Amino acid sequence: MSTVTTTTSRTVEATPVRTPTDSEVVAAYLAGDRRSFDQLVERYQRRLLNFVFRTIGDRERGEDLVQEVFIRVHRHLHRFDQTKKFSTWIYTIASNLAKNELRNRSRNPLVLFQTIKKNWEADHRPLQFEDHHYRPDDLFRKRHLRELVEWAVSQLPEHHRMVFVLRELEGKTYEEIAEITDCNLGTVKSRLNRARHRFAQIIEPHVD
Amino acid sequence: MRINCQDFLQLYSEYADGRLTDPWAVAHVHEHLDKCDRCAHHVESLELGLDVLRSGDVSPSPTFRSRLSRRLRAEVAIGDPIVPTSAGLAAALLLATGLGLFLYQANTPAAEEAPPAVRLAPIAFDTLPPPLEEIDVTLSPFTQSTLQFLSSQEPLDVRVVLSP
Repeated sequence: MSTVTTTTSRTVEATPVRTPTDSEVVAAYLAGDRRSFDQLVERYQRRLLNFVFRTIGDRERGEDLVQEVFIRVHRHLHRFDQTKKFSTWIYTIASNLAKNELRNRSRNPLVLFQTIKKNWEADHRPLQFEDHHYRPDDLFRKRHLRELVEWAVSQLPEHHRMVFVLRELEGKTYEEIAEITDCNLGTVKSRLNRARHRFAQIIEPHVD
Repeated sequence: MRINCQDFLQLYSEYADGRLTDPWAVAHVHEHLDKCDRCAHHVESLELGLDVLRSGDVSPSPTFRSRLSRRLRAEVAIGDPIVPTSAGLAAALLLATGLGLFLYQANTPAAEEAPPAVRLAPIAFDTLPPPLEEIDVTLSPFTQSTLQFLSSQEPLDVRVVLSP
């Protein structure tokens, strides 16, 4: 009599864990899963901080504003139209808070006038190369490229800066930027083009 | 026809984002970029600056989440987030004010009874004053103009009866 021993082996195929979409996380939160809110914070805290920080140029204040963004999201999430893109909605809240911050800073009439003048000139000046010999001396003293780049961003007019940051750092599409900043597509194109040109102009003399 | 530097600067941004759909424009931007050192340097500077900028992301401070959690807990403690908080707060304030006023009124001792109104004794003339037309009065210009104004108004229905 012989016995036949058979061994069977089971292989468990690893199924890739799918990351839930923003819409799914929002739906889970609204269905009562309070921990889902942490996921939203985890996903957006860094991105929003960079966006707000680059827009207003103040990191500490940027953190305060991002906290305020999450408070507002928490407060109004039940009103969010779930057919829309959550990221556009949260960036719109952040963008409005950043705009308010900049507006409050420019309440000083002189600053207000300078801002309006700067913005107007930035929108209407023809795109052309500048003579670098007439740049202010302090620009040439910028030793480090990083400092220079940060400074270049801060020199952009406010509404150009916001569009520039949304496109170049956040990778938003023109259509999303138009929705977030409440502008039409043509304005977004124009502001982005001017912001890129101005940014490059500031960097250019320091690049061999 | 070639494009100049100004045309290039106008078109470059959309070209870089792949949004320039006109094949003629794409070809000319490309050609200009190949041949113009100045514009090529401009684009190179832009790209370098963007690389540096993108590598300089900032992170939230270590206390960011704990501070946010505290604020969210406070938010929940005020009221369920499903209820619009500003309206809820306004209603609560209104209710509290009303209740406060009610309690204040209830606890305030009743005001002392007001003193009785003083009744003036009727004026009695011992003798009747002389008729008005017999009084010799010299009126100031102001009084004259006042009387003139008053006389131009509708007469009041007041009758004074003097009896001896």
